[in-house]
Amino acid sequence: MAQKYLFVDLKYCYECHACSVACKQEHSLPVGIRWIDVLKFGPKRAGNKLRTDYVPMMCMNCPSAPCINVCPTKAITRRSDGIVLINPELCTGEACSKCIEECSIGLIQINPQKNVAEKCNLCVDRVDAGLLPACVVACPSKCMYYGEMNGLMQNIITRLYYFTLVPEFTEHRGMMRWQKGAPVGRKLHRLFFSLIRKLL
Amino acid sequence: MTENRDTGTKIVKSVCTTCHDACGVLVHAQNGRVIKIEGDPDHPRNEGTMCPRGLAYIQLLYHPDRIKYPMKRVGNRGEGKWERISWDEALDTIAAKIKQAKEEYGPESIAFQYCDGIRGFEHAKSAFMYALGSPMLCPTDGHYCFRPQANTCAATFGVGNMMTSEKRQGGPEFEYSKCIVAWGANPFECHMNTGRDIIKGMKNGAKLIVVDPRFTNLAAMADIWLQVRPATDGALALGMLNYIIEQGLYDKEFVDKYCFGFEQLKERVKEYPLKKVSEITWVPEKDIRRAATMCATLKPAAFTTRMGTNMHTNAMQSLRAVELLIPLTGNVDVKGGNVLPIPNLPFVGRGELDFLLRLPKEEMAKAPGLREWPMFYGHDAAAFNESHPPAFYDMLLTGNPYKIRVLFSFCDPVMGMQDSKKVAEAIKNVDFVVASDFFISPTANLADIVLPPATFLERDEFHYAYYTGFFCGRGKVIEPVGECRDEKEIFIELAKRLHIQLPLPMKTVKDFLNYSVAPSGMTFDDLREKNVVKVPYDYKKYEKEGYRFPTETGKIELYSKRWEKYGYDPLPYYEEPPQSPYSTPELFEQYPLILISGARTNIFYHGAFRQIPWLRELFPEPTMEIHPDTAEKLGIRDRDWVWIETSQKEGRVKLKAEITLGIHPKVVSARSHWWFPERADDPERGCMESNINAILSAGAPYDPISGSTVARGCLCKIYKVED
Repeated sequence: MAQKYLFVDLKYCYECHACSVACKQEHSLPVGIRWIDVLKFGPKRAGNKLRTDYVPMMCMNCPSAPCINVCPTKAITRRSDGIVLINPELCTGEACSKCIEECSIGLIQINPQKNVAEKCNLCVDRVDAGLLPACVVACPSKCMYYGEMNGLMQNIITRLYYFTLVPEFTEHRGMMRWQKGAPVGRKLHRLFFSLIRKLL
Repeated sequence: MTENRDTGTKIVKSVCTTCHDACGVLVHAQNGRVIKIEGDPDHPRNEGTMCPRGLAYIQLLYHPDRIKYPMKRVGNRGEGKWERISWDEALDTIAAKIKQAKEEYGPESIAFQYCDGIRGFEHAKSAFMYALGSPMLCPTDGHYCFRPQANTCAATFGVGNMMTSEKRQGGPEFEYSKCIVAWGANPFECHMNTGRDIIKGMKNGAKLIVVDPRFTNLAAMADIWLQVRPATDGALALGMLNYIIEQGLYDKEFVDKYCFGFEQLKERVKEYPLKKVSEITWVPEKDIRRAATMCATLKPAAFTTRMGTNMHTNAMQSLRAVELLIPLTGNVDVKGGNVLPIPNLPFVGRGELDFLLRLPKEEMAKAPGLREWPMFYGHDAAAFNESHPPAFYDMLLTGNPYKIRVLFSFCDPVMGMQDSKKVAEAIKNVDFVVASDFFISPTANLADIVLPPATFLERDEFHYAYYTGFFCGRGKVIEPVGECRDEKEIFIELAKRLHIQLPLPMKTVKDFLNYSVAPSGMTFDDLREKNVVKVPYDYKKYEKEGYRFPTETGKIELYSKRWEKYGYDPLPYYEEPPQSPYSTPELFEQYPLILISGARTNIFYHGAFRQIPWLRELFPEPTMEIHPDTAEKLGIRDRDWVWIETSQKEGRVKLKAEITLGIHPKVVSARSHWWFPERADDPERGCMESNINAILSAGAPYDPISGSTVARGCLCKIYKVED
């Protein structure tokens, strides 16, 4: 399977929470468990203007996913398309919680109903059936994109996405390791995303 | 419909009616039970996207607290004790009460309150009231919802609404705009698909101007955000008009050819130089200049206004001023501008079903508020024609001029109307109250009989409102939960029992649906099969030979002959709010903050959805926005509970402070409609505790034209809740 990516064009996210509720419905999640969380940074002063950034956060399926290595029962694995999955059969739940401690984003949670660690699985069943993840379909501003991409492009874009648009994002718990990108202006960002829109 | 026989699942195309927007949805059902609701990618309105309310609707459908059977009150009024009864018993009781009231006190003793018809009883209720001969119909938000827009557009263009997102009735076409102006409106929270149009426009390079006292998520995306002082929109618009005319930025050719009264307007707006306007509105001069230049020079530009401009005493004139930006910038009925309504739609719409208009004038005039505001309510109104809501509740309370004996309550005014305590008292003062609601709301709690309505998944419906050039039909997906029933059936059944004739071919619901779509040459079943049907429309209709705008002069009236006839100022003006830092400086010392209320969120719909777990989780508590400087002065920290007291009314309510830079230090913004459905022990469900409407007045002063009340821009003080 080819590597797949999910991008969010932060310029057009406005914290409507359609993605997070679509996720809840798709996976029948109880109150308190959230596989996607929309974070709000702001309003804050930016020059003489105000600025608010909204960032939908879900499992990053990190290339160096530390949760995979730390799991004592080898319940966490990566598929060839990049999706990191937790096998509920092998997960020992709250007693272990090692992956939760290790996750830098904080979006692995214990589902108390099943006592297993859970997180965004990029709607693996839907994706395998040729559908898009539920959040991508629901997003009213169509600012979420899912698909294959040229590796190089992807590299540039993920950096752009996280480091230049939301300065605080790097301060946010766990995003430290991603802090390599060079600052690029909004104009360039727009250019890249217009490109992505054509590609996907 | 696609069906999988092996698993027993089917996927049905439907139309969501969680709010007005009416998005196309795909409903997955298994063995008669809905298991999932998702957006329909083929529907032209929402293109597969959804909002959180629609996505969580399944939790309303199968909510344990949902009313599933007719019930009658067994304890005292408001005590919250109910007993299940049969539909026959409920309907027989109601019919007997109506019959008795009508015979003893006349038809005026029967009244009906409703809100914004998204539940499908819209037409049936006015047909029913007409058949009874009663004009006592009350839209609880009638004085400031979208009717001010409809009535100001009637003054200027002679046609219905061109300002809000209801494009069937005309409206802004943001998708193709180069400049988008959202004035006192936040479609991101209220009308998802209009918000989507804005985003489409912006992806095509449109600029966005937002006029709002709050730094909303829309303002965060804006190129220019004008943080206007609450209730001074009129001054800002007049200042912009003045600047546009002074600088010669207006569309001279269009104004000369199609507009009437330009010279008078020019003289009037001279009274609003930028410096003065900036002092009134607290918006810097250079920002006004930039915004005015932008919306006048970027073409096409489209404008929308919403409740932000409507809830104060200068509402109608403010709206007129904003609206005049459309003709002056030459954006009338152009692609990407504000489009005129589509004439001759191939179905029977709301306007045609406004049955109260068929009542004799003297009968109609019995409804409260018609004499005081004759252009806004009654036969001459541009849109709808029912009572003035505050006057209606005065009547309920005092029995003057008519004592109401039977009240139908198909909405929740205890949460939605200002002066909640009075509204609750007024409803209690009625002999017999019938409520219909999904849950025991604070209003339904005061009823004698509650009826269980069917959701959109459980009934057939025909949709056209809020659509650009199309309409659709929806079949029911599942059999109703419990004994829930299409609300139209209630009126059909009651009419049968009362031996009255509904003024519609309406023996069954199906008859009515067929009648509605008949002009298109289809039956309802044909339409349901097709799901969506397009209606073509064209631009610049006024360029056609012999076209006259339906105004007295046949032109767009910058100087409104219609308003002149009624004795209102034909040109827009600004008037300081009755209570403000400038009009009542002493009071301002006592109440040193300006209060705006009613900012919406797309998590809830007015007072609804607070019992839906997935939604409540996202917005668990009533909040109030306050600037960090103000909060610091008052010793309030983020998430502290604070009391609010207003200059309008006695009493206080408590909300949770949300400290944000996105609001002026002298302004606070309180969320509205808060009640706590989870409090099972409290029959009132805490409906006066955090409900901002409980401390807002619905009394005078009113807007002279519409009777709008001050829900935005009154004075208040706040202090920390000490525990």
